[in-house]
Amino acid sequence: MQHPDEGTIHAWLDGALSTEESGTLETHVATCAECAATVAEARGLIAASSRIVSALDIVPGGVIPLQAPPVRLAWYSTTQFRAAAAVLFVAGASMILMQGRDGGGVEDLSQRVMSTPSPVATETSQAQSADAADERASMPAESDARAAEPARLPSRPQVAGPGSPEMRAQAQRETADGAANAATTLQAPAPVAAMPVAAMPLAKAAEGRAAGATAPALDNVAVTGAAAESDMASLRVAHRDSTPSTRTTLFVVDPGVTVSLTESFASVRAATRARQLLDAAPSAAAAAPPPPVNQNRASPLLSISWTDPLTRNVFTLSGPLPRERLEELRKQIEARERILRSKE
Amino acid sequence: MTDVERLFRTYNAALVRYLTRRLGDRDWAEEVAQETFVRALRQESITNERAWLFAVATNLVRDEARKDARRRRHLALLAEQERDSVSEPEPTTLERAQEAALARKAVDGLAERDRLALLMREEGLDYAEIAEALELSPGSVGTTLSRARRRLVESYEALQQGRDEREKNAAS
Repeated sequence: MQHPDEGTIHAWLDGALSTEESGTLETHVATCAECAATVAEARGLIAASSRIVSALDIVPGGVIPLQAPPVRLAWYSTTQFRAAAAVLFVAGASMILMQGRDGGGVEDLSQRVMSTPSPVATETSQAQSADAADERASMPAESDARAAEPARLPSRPQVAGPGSPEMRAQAQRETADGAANAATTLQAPAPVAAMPVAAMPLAKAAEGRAAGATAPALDNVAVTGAAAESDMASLRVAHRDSTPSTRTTLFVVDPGVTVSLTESFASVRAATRARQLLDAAPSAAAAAPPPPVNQNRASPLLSISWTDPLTRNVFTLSGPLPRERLEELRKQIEARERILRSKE
Repeated sequence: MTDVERLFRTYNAALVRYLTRRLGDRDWAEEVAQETFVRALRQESITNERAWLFAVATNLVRDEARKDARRRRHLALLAEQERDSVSEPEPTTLERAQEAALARKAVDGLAERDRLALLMREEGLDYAEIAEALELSPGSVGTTLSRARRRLVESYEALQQGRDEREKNAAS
């Protein structure tokens, strides 16, 4: 095959070629270092221009914006954590008081406290109910459970979004039990790794609360790490590929359905540097893996892009999935990024 | 829900974003988008809605066409409703505003056809839709896009370098 021109390579990466054409191109690129370098560069250009175009959306207001960049709160100073801590403090203090007087009253009081009809309490108890459900499934021996976690994870990746009706229905069913079970949560740290992905942000607060209340010696970093592992396991990584300007990760979301996540680093210059490096070392480029497109062209390839507010890196997620599904995955990926970052 | 309402709800956000990126002015962009939907009302049948809307909006920008005030008022109402449901963008920092200015310069420096093809692609239009909206041959969309992307990144990079050097000189 002749070397494809740059336009054809862009068309390929944009998912605009027929199955046959992209098959031919894929085969060629796999064996041609020169074209592999052009493909790598084209990917960088696509991501970089996406980022530049989205920068157009920042339309300055009428004032001179001179404020400091937003400060990211530590996990323990988020509102959710504070609310959870407040509820816990009240519940804990009441229990101690009640135990001093009459052991039988503990259950009643804690139930009353936990079902306080404030929005915060509702949110918290939902998190607890989700986690209580899992807790029951994996009790007893919480430390062993955590160690054995990867083996117990479902082989089919979980993609329930935070708004999944199934989840919510379950959470509601469990709300009543959740309040009663809150006392259990106080005594034994939840096996965090077993928590569903959707419960992550709230679960994090719950995890901090459990650790603070019962076992000051509990290693928080380790717990967070376990959570991150479970989260990543639901997004199974099939392949990684890095250039100085981008990092591409292939995730298998369903059997036969692969999505690609391209992270384009904030410096546009890196895109050019990538090319120079690849030009200098064509052998490295030859080893470049087949690109993400044309895995299974059952449905058209869709892409969504967003910018990480902290690093200014641009993520592009593409796959043969409906937009809502991609948005769901994006949420998971963002949660995963947050966890990875808090680990660092 | 009338057909134009459906069209509006489906495509208004993308169209306004496309036009804002094209024009650098949100109000103007909304005006043109509304005019586009008014045109759609008058149209008997549209084969490819998205390509048609983007083509008409593009032509309207070019022609600075006249408007239909009554219909626009209705659409302005819809736009307001929609705006209420969309959260406000985060506040702009100086750095991001500078970045936006560089991006604006780089995008404005592209040839018209390259710029439009790129902005349409960023809104998710496929090659056939871009070809239809811009009256290009489908085979040339890849070439147009690859040229647009390369030039955009190169000129952005040059602008960024120029700015960095100026800052360095100012500092020393």
